[in-house]
Parts: sequence; structure tokens; C-alpha cells
Amino acid sequence: MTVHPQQFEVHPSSGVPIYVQIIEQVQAMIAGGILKQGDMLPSVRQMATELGVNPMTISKAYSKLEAEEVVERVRGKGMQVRKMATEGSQKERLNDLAPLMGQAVVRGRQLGLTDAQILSLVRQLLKEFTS
Amino acid sequence: MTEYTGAFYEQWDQPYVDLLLKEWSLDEKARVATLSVGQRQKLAVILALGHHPELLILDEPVASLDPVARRQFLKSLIEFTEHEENTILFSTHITSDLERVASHVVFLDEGKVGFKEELDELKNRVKRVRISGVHNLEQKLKIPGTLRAEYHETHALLTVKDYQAQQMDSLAEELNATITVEDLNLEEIFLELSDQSTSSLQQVIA
Repeated sequence: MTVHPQQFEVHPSSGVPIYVQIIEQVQAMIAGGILKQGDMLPSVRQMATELGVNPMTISKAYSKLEAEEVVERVRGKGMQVRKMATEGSQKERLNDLAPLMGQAVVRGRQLGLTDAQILSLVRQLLKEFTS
Repeated sequence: MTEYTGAFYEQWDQPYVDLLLKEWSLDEKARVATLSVGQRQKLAVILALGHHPELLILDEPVASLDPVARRQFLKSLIEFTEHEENTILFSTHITSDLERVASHVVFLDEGKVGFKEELDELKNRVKRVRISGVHNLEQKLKIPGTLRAEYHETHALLTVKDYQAQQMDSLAEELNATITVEDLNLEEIFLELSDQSTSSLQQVIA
């Protein structure tokens, strides 16, 4: 299975550089099992034209992922997800989620919600997003 | 409509020009006099692309184009620079276009280069920092490269030009303060950098 460029969500006008957004999303897809060992990333050209961003930005994201040994370059085929990186440890995946949850908790506190109210909202959302 | 210009160039690529005319929805049989301002602007850019120049310099090429045409313009630029052999330098005030395609940006300040940087590097370096401490912060904060600072007793809102995570961590410890860091987009960075004076914006894609 391969992912399609449209599965990436790129916000050019966010303060986060686009290449960082792509790296983070590839890592999340791997951690979440959407991308598995041996899967190919879309080509630089495909990504650039479908997402409407500079191909150099995509190349940069891919090169960094390659340097981090998340993917490897296969001659004539493109970027392939490597074995080692197939699944992040539970701790790594939790570390990935923590800052996002942190933001939500801060907002909850600002809104004057109690811990119980925040927790019950999380439970409700978990139910809604059951696959 | 385009063959005339083509006759002046050895490397003129008529099939490419025809493709661009089609993609940009321009009627090749129309007379220039009948075209709207935006259509003429499109035509001018297409004529400039037609002979595959190594360096292309455009001054406000999208000023009269609507968002659909601007996106098409960006797409053509991306395809044009795909083999990384061509450079395009263009000026614009539309920062969101730059964020999609620019590799490097240059701020012009009354005709002089005010600031130039790789776009990603710029976003990594310029940050807004919110500090809440226990003491009055105004005298204590001496961060090099501070572009703008607002103080409200134990709170401070700073924009820094050379953000370093470690520096902020040690500062937080030293002041017994909590520090949150906000990423800025190009428009906000532009506003912060040009706070001292008015500037315009130029960019390079390579």
C-alpha cells in the first residue's frame, strides 16, 4: 500500500516550515501503521504538484527522513519506508502526542473546565473516533 | 499571438508555450488589444517563460491575477524549476504565495536589501516568545536580537530574531518563569521585521 499526496495536510502559511510538517506527518503515519515497512512515499514531483509547493521543499523533507534512517532511497523507485522505523516504541508515540494534548489541556484550564470535565470529553472523543 | 516573440529566440519552445496558454486559459487566437489587464499579465509571463531562461526576473507578476490564476502561476513556476536548473526571482506582496514556492526570501526596505534568508531558516529563527514570571521582567530580559518587546509587570511578549531553544530553557530556569514559544508565518515575520520601517518583499526560488 502507498500513501497518496492528498493524505498529507500542508499549511504553507503556518509558522512551521513545510518540510517539517511533511517529516512529522510521515513519522506519524509510520507510528500509526498507515505506512509500513517497504511502502513507498509519493514521488517528489507528485507531492510538489499535488500539494502546490516547491519540489525542493519535498526533497528536503525526504533527505532529512533518509538521514534519520526512517526511509531509504531505492534506485529508480523512490523513497521506501525502512524496517527499523516501522513502529515507534510506545514511549516515542506518547512523546509525539504529549505536546498536542498539552495544548488542549491548557485551553481547557483557560476555559475553566474541571479535570473531570476534560477527561469526560476525551473519553467521548475517543468513542467518536473508534475506527 | 506568441510566434512573433518566438522568432527572436533560438531556443523558443512553441509546444511549451501552447501548453501554458491552454493551462492558463488564454485564447491564442485573440488579439492583444482585446485582452484584459490580468490576461495581458499572464501573456507577458508566458512569453518570458517561452525560451527557458536560466534566470527569470519578474516584477509583481501576479498583481492583477485572481487566486485561481495565481495558483496556476505557482504551479507553472514549480514545473519550470523542477530540474533545479532555473532560477526565478520575483517581487510580490502576497506572502502566502512565497510560502508555497520560495526557497529564499529577501526583504527590500526603501530599495535596499533589509534582510535575506532561506525561508525555512527564517521561520526557525524568528519566534514570538511569551514569558510569565514571578518578578517584574522589564529590567531582567536582555535577549540579543529582540525585535519587539511588550512588558506587563510579570508578563512579557517578545519577538526574537535568533531563537535558540536552549537559551530559552536556561532563561526559564533563571527567572523561574514559564515560556511558551509561538511559530510565526511569513506575513507575521514580515510585519515584525518591518516594524522599524516600511518594506517591500522580494523572493528567489532556485
